[in-house]
Amino acid sequence: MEQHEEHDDLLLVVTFYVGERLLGIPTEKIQEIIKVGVITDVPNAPGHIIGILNLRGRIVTVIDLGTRLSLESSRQGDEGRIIILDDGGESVGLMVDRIADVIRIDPQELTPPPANMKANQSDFFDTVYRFQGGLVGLLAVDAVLAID
Amino acid sequence: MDILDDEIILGYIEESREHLADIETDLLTIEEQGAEINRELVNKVFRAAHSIKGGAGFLNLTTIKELSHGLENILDMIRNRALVPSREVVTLLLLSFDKLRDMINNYQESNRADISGVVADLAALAGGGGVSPAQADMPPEQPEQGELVIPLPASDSVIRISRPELERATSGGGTPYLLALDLMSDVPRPGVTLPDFIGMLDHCGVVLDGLVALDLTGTLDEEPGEVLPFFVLMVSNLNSQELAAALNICQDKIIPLDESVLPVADPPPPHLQSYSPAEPNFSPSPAFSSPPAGSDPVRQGGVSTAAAPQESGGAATLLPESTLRINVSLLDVLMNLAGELVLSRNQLLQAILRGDQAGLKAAGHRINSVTSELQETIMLTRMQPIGTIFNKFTRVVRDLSRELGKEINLVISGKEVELDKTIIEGLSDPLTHLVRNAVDHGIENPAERRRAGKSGGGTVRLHAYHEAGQVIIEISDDGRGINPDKVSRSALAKGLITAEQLRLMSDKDRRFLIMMPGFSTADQITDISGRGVGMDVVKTNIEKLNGLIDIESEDGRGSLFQIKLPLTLAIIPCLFVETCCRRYAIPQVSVVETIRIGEAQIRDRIQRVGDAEVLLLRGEIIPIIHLKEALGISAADTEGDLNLVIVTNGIMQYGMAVQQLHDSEEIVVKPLGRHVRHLKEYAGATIMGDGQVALILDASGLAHSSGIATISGAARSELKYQEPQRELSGENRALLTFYNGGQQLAVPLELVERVEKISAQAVEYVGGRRVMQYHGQVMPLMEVGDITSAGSLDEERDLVVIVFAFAGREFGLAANTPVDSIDCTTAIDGETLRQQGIVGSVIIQGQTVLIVDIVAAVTSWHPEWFESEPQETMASYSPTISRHRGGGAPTILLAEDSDFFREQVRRIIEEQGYTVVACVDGALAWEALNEHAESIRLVVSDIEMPNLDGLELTRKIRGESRFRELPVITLSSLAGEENVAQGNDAGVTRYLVKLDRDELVEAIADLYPPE
Repeated sequence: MEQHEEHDDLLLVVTFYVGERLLGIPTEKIQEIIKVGVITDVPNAPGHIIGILNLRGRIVTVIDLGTRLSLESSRQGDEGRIIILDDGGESVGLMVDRIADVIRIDPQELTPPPANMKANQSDFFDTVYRFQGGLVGLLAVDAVLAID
Repeated sequence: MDILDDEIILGYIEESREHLADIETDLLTIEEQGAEINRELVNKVFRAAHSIKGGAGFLNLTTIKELSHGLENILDMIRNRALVPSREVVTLLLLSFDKLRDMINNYQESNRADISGVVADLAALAGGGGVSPAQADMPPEQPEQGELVIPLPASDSVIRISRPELERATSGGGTPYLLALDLMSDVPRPGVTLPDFIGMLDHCGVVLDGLVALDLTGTLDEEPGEVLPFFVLMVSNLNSQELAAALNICQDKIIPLDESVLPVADPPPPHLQSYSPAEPNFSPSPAFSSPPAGSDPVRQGGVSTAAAPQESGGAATLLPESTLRINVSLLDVLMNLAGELVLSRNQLLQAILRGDQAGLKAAGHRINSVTSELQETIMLTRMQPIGTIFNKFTRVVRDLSRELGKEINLVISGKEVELDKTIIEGLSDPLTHLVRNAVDHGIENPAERRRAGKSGGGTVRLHAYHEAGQVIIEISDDGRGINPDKVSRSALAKGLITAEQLRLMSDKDRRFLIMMPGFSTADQITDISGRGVGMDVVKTNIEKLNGLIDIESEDGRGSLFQIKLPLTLAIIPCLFVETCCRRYAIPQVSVVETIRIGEAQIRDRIQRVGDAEVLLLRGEIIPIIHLKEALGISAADTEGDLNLVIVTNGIMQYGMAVQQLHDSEEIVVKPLGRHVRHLKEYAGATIMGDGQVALILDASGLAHSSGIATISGAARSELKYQEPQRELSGENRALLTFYNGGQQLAVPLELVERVEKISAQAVEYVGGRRVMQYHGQVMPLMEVGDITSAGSLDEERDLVVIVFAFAGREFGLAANTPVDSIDCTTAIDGETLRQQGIVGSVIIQGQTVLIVDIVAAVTSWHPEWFESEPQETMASYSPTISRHRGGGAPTILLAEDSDFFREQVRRIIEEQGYTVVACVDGALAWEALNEHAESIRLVVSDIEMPNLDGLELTRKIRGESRFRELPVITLSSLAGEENVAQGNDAGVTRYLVKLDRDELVEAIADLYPPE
């Protein structure tokens, strides 16, 4: 990823949709983004675990981000993608509905999540960013991947 | 002082651990041999101490160096017969090596470790008096025989090196050099870290020794860190100018050591004597409370610098399993294979570019064989002998038995058996627990033993061996055994089971209670084994390794703990099953058998006890779970046959109902991610041929989560009384059924090596014969149509190849799916449908299934396989054949209950020209033997037979003096070492595995007594 001098302090963020909601994860935390392939379900696993898949020989656990965030389930649709994150040496996938743009964010402009966000959801957001009239919530990746 | 690099130090630690690994065993052997020392062995231990000392000096681990030096002295004395390795001496050595090991494992803190006691003891032993080497008034130490002392410029320190070591290093024509460097200015320097520099040194020659002269670092009053002299003794083939250039240092820092500088012989020249008092500890350990008299404060400054703990790089904890030593030849093989793989890839790319079908095929075959071989070789690199953990028990048992006042002899066998490194590491704790248990609880004290009429000394045995593709480890003792009453009383008192459950348990069940969590009899908690780690933890640990543990015990006679382990955790054979369109793998180690119950029979064979479903199988009550329900999958019930996989969790068997049974495959186990790892139902995941992921089921975890572990006892006995005595009609044969077009056929399961899926394209025609590439070899392939009048294969349907092995070769039978293994309880009809290539028929679920005569098929299709025997063998027994050919009286007695095998074996023997009398069981064979006592020269017998089995028959034969010399060959499908041992005990002359024609023919030729 090439960054020019003047952008050194800007944050690159991949934005994506879960339902109608626009969310973001800084690119530095993302390993890759893949199309949804065959996912093997894991019976008796927690509800937000969709299953496991084979990523070039590695077993990757796939989390339904919508269910995880207590939003609507994000699993159907042709535009669905899986964002692969590195979780302490092991790969974990987040299923999202659609990938939007990669945007550059000035960290100065990030603000804390709004106070009226549901308590159980606010745990999952570090900050929000005003973008084209809407809000992008930046995911607290560690919280999303935590095991309750 | 951050002069040490992690990598170098890790290398040293690793190497030192290896040196220390066998030392206990070696020392104990040395102790056993007493004054009659084995010089080679003492030398080995000496060298270990010596190498550790050398490295420690280089790395400035002063305390380690000091202790290893002390050890070296004692070992040298033992080597020179100046000291007898008595029990006390060896105990001190063991303690010191323990201390050394501790310090090495915790090297950062080692310089602060208090070793004064041990060092003083060692010194006292060495000097015969109480003089500690650190005391300043110690007499100047004479250099060892043949030792060179090299004075260091402007320093009190010297580098000592043995002359042979130097000679070895210079034998290649190199020159010895002394490098006088400054760690403050010479290295590290921009772009070159110290490790880089040491790497450069290694490239230029052989580094013999190195030390940091702490006496030159200045006093506490001076500015610290102005200068830090670092001396290196090395041998290089470069001249000093070249060396200076290669190391990028000033040439004046390199001092060539020629003969004039090197002290020539011992005793050392007088001018060196003055340096000697500074030895052996150029920096006394801070552990000594009083500073050496007359030493100046300079040294104290040096000490505090030296003692600075190494905390650089955050390498605070070492992971013991992080590195592995691999035989270089194995690496070479890997390199070659990697090269092959690259070549094959190029072939493949070219073929793709050219669109060359034949080339594609060839490249495909090549990649196939290279990858298989690559996989096997890589697996080999992980294999380690189990001796690495067995060895440590010699010490454990020695120390423990001493502590407990017991006489215990530890017998270890099978050290060479290899297991995956991960398994070896995981085994250490459970084995230690079991051995400690055996010593502590198993073996009685001598007085008690004598009262029980046993010898005072007990025996604990550790035995490892291979059986059926698994490794078995047995820990046995000849102690008091596990008393089931005592165990159950205790379990009852702790509320682990109810009296009702207990009433229904067998002795074995009750002994297994010791593995229940929370079980620990009150009088069991001792220092030795009651450390809060119960047998349940042992069991859990072993199950984590995909292993099983079994207990056998006889009151007053001893106990046996048997652990069954897979060879490796990474690749295991698994049976694939399907339920609700999902495929799951069950590790073969937990599969007992698979059973299909026809829809009509389900009512008869499956019963309900309360909520639980159970299967009646050969008089046993087996609880059943439905995989679908156990996994909480909601799907409609399916009608039809019931497919059951009978699995075991080590204690009990249960049936797992699945919708479909698939093939068995070797799979690569992949761990699950941490979000699902807590699910006990799964042992991991694997990637199937089509790239999809399948979960691997854990038989124990599933039993647990379905709650069947608790119903078994009650359900079992309740049903034991209801169970009608099911007579086994005819013989009990395991058959493998398959299809050939629309016709269902079968072959005896014993003959089958493997079954694998193939594609129709895999079959090739070479020289008019059908073959296929199989694991890098060309395997002949036939189909049923080739040998019987049956129809031909349906190539549109899924194809499998059933692999058989004969005469040391493999051949395949192509067949259509579905393939199933069936326990056939009805008699095989060898008459009605007998025809060419068909040995008989059997009724399976109302269908007539023909049994293919595989042996005849191979013999007629590949007669050359059996003709290629060496000529000498033929010649040696052909006279015997001719003499007996056509002779009236039978000369060979054959006992075999299976019609099929009796026919096969009879034919094989008769082909050799002998006359056979064949009997269907041991009792009839015994009658026949008595009848033809005069003419019978050899007995060939099956082992498993009704009325009188093969072993009993053999014992009967051996029991009569007239038959004492009569050779007995047994044929069995049980080929474990245990079985062979049982056979040998009974008096079997030759124990053969069913059914290798060549082996049998050879054995007969061998044993038939020439006239």
